[in-house]
Amino acid sequence: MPVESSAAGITPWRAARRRMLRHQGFLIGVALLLAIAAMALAAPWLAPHDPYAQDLANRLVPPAWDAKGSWEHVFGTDHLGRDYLSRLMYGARISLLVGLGAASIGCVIGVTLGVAAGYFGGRIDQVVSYLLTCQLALPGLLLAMSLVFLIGPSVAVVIGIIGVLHWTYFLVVTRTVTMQIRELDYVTAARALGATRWQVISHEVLPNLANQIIVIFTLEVGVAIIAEASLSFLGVGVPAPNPSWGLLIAEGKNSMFFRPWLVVVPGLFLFALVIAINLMGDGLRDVTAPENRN
Amino acid sequence: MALLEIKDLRVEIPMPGGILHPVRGVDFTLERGQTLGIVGESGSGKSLTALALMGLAPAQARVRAGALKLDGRDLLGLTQRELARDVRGSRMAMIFQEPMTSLNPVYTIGRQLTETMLLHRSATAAEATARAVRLLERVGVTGAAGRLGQYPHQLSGGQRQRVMIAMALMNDPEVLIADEPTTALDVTVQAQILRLLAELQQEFGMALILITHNLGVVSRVADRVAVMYAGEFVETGTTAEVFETPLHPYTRGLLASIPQPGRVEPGARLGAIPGIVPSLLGEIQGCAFAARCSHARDACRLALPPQREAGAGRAYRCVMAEGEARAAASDVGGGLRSGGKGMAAGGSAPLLSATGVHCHFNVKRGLFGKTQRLHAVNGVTLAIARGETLAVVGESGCGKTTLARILLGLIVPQEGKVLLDGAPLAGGATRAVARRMQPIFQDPYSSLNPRRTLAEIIRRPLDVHGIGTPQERRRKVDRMMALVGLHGRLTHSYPNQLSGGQRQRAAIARAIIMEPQLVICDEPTSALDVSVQSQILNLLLDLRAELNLTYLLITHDLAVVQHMATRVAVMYLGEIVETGSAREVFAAPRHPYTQALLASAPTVTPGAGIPDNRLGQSYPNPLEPPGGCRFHPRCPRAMPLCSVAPPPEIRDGDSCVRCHLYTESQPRAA
Repeated sequence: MPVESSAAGITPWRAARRRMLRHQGFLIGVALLLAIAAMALAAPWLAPHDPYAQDLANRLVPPAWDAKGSWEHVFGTDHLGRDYLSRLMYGARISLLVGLGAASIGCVIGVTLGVAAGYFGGRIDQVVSYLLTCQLALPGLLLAMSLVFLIGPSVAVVIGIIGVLHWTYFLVVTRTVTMQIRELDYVTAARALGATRWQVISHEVLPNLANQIIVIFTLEVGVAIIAEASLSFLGVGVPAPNPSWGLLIAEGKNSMFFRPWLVVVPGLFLFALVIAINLMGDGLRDVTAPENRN
Repeated sequence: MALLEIKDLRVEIPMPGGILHPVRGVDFTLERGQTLGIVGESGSGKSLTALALMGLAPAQARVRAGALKLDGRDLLGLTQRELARDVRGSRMAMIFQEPMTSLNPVYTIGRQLTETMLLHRSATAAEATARAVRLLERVGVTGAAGRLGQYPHQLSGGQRQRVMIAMALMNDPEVLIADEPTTALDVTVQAQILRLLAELQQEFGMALILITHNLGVVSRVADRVAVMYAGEFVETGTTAEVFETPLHPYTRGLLASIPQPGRVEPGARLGAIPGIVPSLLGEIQGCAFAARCSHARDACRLALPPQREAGAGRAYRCVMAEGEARAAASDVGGGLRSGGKGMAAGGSAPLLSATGVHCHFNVKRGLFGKTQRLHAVNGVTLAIARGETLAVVGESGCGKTTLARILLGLIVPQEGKVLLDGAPLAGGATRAVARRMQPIFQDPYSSLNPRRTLAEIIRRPLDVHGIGTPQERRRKVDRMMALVGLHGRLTHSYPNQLSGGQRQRAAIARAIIMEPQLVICDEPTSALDVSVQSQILNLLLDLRAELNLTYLLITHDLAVVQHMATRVAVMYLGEIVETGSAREVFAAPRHPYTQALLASAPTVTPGAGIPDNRLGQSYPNPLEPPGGCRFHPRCPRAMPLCSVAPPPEIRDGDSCVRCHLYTESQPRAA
């Protein structure tokens, strides 16, 4: 019988798309993330002002909704008179880049080590567990600060360092789950087929780690964005003229009590981004999880 | 007055997709000292019926009944607090299926036993302890006083189930509900536990409700049987009558689908009930069984058939009147069902052979514990000829699964060698070996990758081995699916969308797609319901004939072995104690362990009771196997010699036994 005609042409991909379109959380998350991404990408065209242009005569202008504000600067200006909205738009680039980039680096390191330790066990597991213990014993922020200090601050360095320091969750979870999967009969069946280790890992083990990886990845994106914000806040993150959201909060903290928008507005953007990523991740997990297919 | 009176018991559970009706109008009465067996497949509502009686149905469930009376007292009107104080644990007690999880691991046995009495304030601590010791002794736990301080993990599964039984008896209940009390146990232990339950019931004059899917167990233990299907009792009556003349088509279907030695010729096709148990979400129009019934007619689908009385205490729910039903029943009950090709032995050249295979694992307790050796397989020699079906039988922990993995090349044994068609298995499953030998596993829920579609799973062997073009592979997958009876519309389904039987069919399709010569089936049907088991056994038999397959069947189910196997090897603690043709081993078992196994197997024999298998209680710890003959501590015929010298292998033609009862000159009992 022809495969195409079966079950009214519902292929797995079509069914997955249908489930995605029905999942509200997923749709909201994706919409929010797309909006932020569009804002980041289109910043040169959308931004009303040059984010680096200082105008010391117009320092600390309040946002448009304030009695003293103007529509010229929707979110007001910062302590150097730079347009806050433009800086936020450009800042989205750095936050997204840091969040996704650092989480991806951590994901690759953690999943590789976790799957290797869980699947092969024995010596490899001992070595990996030792690495994990070392990593957990190190004070992360201090290490990040000293590394940035040694190498010198730049966006790439910040991404690399945050990524290299955030793989432990990936490792712990994938290692345990891999150990469970390794004992299941479908892995034994694949081995009895003569499948190579790589075939077993890529075809049987990794797809079944997807749930856990998605959940941790979304959490880690948030963590990485916040880590970048903290580093920038401490002055060792993204170097100064760059408009990172963390840096905006850091620069705004001095006048927080009198000009709260300097902290609240970038804080809300950060919040929205992390929420969007979490909603999308939860949705993605629900949509792809085996138990939700029907 | 009846001790327990249930009228029109209904349980409804609101679910996201509608209302679930797991129990849809159950009536029965139970007298003191009587045993009611409730049989049915999984999902028929047996357990929820019991939980509803105990007032333990899930919190969101709505339990309604025309009457639910214990000794004249209406249980429906009682609050949870009153139920807990006056009924549960004191007048009605329950034993659950999983002895591993139904005892709390952080408390001692003694505390858990006495707790039930102290909670009900029916005794002082000293009295409770005394009773606990007495009951533990009564249920056959040796050294009872010393055991009170032990924790559940220090006991074996059988012992834990005994403790559970003792716990249920602490307050001298009038009704004991046993929900699959022996399903998780080995056959020899099952026989002992069932025997114990029957004795205790007599002794304490309790009424017993025995819930099980095992028709053999029910036929032997119960006075009355209720057959449950889709939340209803479709047939009730005395055990002898229900098993002799089953009036409901479902009961007949169930009985036809189990391999009954003496009634079904080995290798013959078993009866099968097509389809699966219907969803209990929402209302069911008409007879719930109509969709699977061969006698179904229009009236069945329109309205619920009437409850028909057929003599004293006998009732069934079917459109067929008594006369017609009795006539249909005689088709099943009478005579030997034949038509099988028989199970003739195969050729002489062994396809797969193992010689002197030893395999041990090093087990280490904790970081600084000393390493112990677990001899999983201890000097096994075995040969499978082309075309035969060799069954390896044994209880859990005897090393059968390790043996299967050694034969598959997944574990390299420390000693001995395995030859496939005369060529040694080079360490690890090589691709050449994989093409000729494939496994089928027990649990169809873990043997299929949940993230892959059915077509991907079945096609995987071809992908791994790079056989054929994509079109050829797809055609072959379609052909295999048709061959194992999977509908083409399931191509893109994921395993969790399939029933257990469909999953097992998919696993079989994956195993045979490369056209192997040998299929190693590790407990292929023990996770399945009886009606599905028969479908899978039929499929295996058909495939054997069609594809000239050789099977190595690993199982603990002797009825399946007798039905499928041409040769049998009995395994005990890593050793093979007896081999022989299936006919011989079942007709005249020689090793005392084989004899005990056969005696323990609950074949369908109404009213036969459970025979005493005379085995010492527990299976020994494989880490410290007994010296001499490994079976001697449990053997009813052990001699002084047995504890000293391991018995030699006594060959007699094609069969072989390891026991001091036999010698070369006298290889069989006189």
